[in-house]
Amino acid sequence: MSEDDDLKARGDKLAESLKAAHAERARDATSQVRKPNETAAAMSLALRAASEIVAGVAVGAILGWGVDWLFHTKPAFFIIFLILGSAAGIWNVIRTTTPKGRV
Amino acid sequence: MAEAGPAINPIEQFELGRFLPIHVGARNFDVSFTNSAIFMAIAAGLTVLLMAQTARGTIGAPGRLQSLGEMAYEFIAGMVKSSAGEQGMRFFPLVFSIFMFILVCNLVGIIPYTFTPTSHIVITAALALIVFFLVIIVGLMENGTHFFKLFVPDGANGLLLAIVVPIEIISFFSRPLSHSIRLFANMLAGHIILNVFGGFVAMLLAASAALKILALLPFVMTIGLEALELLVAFLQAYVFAMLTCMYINDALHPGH
Repeated sequence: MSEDDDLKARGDKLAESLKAAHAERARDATSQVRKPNETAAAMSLALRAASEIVAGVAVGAILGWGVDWLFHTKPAFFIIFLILGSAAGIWNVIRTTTPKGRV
Repeated sequence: MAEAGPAINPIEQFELGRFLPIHVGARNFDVSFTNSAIFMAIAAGLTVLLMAQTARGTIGAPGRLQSLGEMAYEFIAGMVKSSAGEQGMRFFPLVFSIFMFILVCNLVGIIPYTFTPTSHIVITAALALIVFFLVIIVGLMENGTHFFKLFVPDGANGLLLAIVVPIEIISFFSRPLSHSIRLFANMLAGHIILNVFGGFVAMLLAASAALKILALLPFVMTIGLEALELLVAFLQAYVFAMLTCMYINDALHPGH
């Protein structure tokens, strides 16, 4: 008997969350129609991603080259900072493309 | 290509010319008023005219210019509020000036025979560095040493910190670079492409009669690109202002 009750409770819960999801989707659909701002935001995101990654790598390379030039350690810091710069570039892209509040 | 038509040099449009040569100091420092300066002055002047017209405001239904100015104001005010919060509105004048300056420069630059100041990295880098140093100064003034929490993510410790902090610092210093290169590169590339396709039209028209009809193809392409450039002109100004807001937000609230 208790198993049936359990099943029923789970079914009710599922129905409830389905209803909530439907409501949210309906709201999204209506808001999509009247927000020209959203399109601009999405396009700006696409334009930004490429330059963010390039900038990360470039700044890493420049910093590494500068440190090497200062301390005469020719390729060591260039390599380290190039790797860190690439990581920073990818991190930039992840951060710009992830919705707010999830990073 | 022996009987080629007019020589096309797509880079020529970016050349600076001394409109009003001025040299100062003992070392003859060149501060001439260039064609770039003319168009920057035009952009600033047009913005001031528009906003003056808006501010004079009539009671009742606003005219076209006035509603244009009000739209621009509301657009940027909404952007600043949503991405930098209510506190960010202190920086509204800066963000608005930057947005209008870039937008008008870009839009004026699309008109044939004009010059686009934003296609020179000096201009975009200067704008990006203003924002970069503003963020550092405001961040330090508002939050003191707490500002450096920007480089230290929550929940990281030990070895992870040793890797993550340099990455965050490089990421921070890459901002002015990506900020300035994006705008400059987009404007430069757009204008070069426009010029190349325009050049195709001229070259085909100068060629033999059978080829003249083909000139229609690049001509149609040029019109399409012109429309695309109009979109890019707005989008780049939008992106620049948007990122300015986000960086200011970082300065005001460093701990995410």
